[in-house]
Amino acid sequence: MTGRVITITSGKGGGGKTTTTANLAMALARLDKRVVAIDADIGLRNLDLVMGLENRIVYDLVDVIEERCALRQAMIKHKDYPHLYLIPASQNRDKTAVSPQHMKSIAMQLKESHDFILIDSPAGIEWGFKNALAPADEVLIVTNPEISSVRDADRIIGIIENHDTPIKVRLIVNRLKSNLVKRGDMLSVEDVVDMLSIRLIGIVPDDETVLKSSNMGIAAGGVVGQAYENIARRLCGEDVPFEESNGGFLGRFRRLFGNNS
Amino acid sequence: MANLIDRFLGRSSQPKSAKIAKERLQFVLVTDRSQLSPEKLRQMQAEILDVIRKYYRINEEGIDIKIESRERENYLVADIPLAKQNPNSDEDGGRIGFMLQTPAQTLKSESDESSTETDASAEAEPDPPSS
Ligand SMILES: Nc1ncnc2c1ncn2[C@@H]1O[C@H](COP(=O)(O)OP(=O)(O)OP(=O)(O)O)[C@@H](O)[C@H]1O
Ligand SMILES: [Mg+2]
Repeated sequence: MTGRVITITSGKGGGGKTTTTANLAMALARLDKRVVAIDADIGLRNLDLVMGLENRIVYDLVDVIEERCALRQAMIKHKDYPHLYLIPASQNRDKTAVSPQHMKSIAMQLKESHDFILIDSPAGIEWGFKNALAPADEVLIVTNPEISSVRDADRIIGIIENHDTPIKVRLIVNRLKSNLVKRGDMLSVEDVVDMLSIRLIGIVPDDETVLKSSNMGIAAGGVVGQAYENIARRLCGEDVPFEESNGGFLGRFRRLFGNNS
Repeated sequence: MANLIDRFLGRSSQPKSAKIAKERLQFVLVTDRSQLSPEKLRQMQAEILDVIRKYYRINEEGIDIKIESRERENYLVADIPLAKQNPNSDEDGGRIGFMLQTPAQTLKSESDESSTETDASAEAEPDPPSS
């Protein structure tokens, strides 16, 4: 088996990389894929919390790199999905403990027995981002429909295009508020795709279920859960039509007739 | 009534903040994607025009030269009408058109100097057919 290494990144902080990594990992696991999620945000460990695995951590990524444990020992099995694992970031170490070469070698080993290796990148374009990018076969750019988020995404895309190996780049528009788009006060998905000129793979609405589910360390349900399931299916090659992004006619009629399910 | 339909379809006469955001972003992305500052780009445009003026008489009012982003690449696109050879004839003086691909910005990187090296010289694209 040779798995796909997919790095989730955004440039700007707080756009939803960790939320996306966690929910996509769980969505892929529900599709019976073998998945490892790696938290590459060294020093700012968070993916464990969002996935509900914070109490099970013994070893972390830096322990593997510094050979205090075997790779296998740092892989925490998810409580609900037997084929989903997390490799947590180190909380008390500096990001310079990890190098692009380390990440490549870990990813290479994981590829042998997993379908997907998802890497949660830290914000920015510095050391931690480069570590997260180094082993990537594919990148998912998470952006919010908001000027600084789009601008930073563009910068990241430019950097990836200049990477030494070709990487497939696709876009997730996160935290879309279709009522604001309709009112003309938020960039539409079409606007964002048009400006960034890269392929879209998913649209995730802004929804309070995200807060609730990360409070509890479980997968988001409702429209957000559906959005991540759709992204997971598209990653697996299924042709899933895009959700209504701009509250087109259908959405408006539904609201008009009070059928807001 | 028309107003109501417009509202229903999400149309309106005032520019909405998203539209302004898009325009501002499009502008900033062009310069972000370029290795040159907006200042330098303007200077280069002016110098190119000066060179052309040495060889042709330009119809100054008609000059259309701008930086455009297409599929994440920046191009300097110019359409420069020439002055009529004979002011009394109906024939126009022809025009000069070109598209210059300008190199994109690369990451000024401390860790992998060797990996990203772009050719600093601009590649000239073939002339678009001029009308
Ligand atoms: N679709 C969404 N709807 C509502 N809230 C969201 C959504 N996506 C993310 N959030 C919230 O936004 C915040 C930031 O999300 P997250 O931690 O995933 O971002 P990040 O890109 O990983 O941040 P950092 O750059 O700090 O690593 C969180 O509070 C999260 O709950
Ligand atoms: Mg994060």
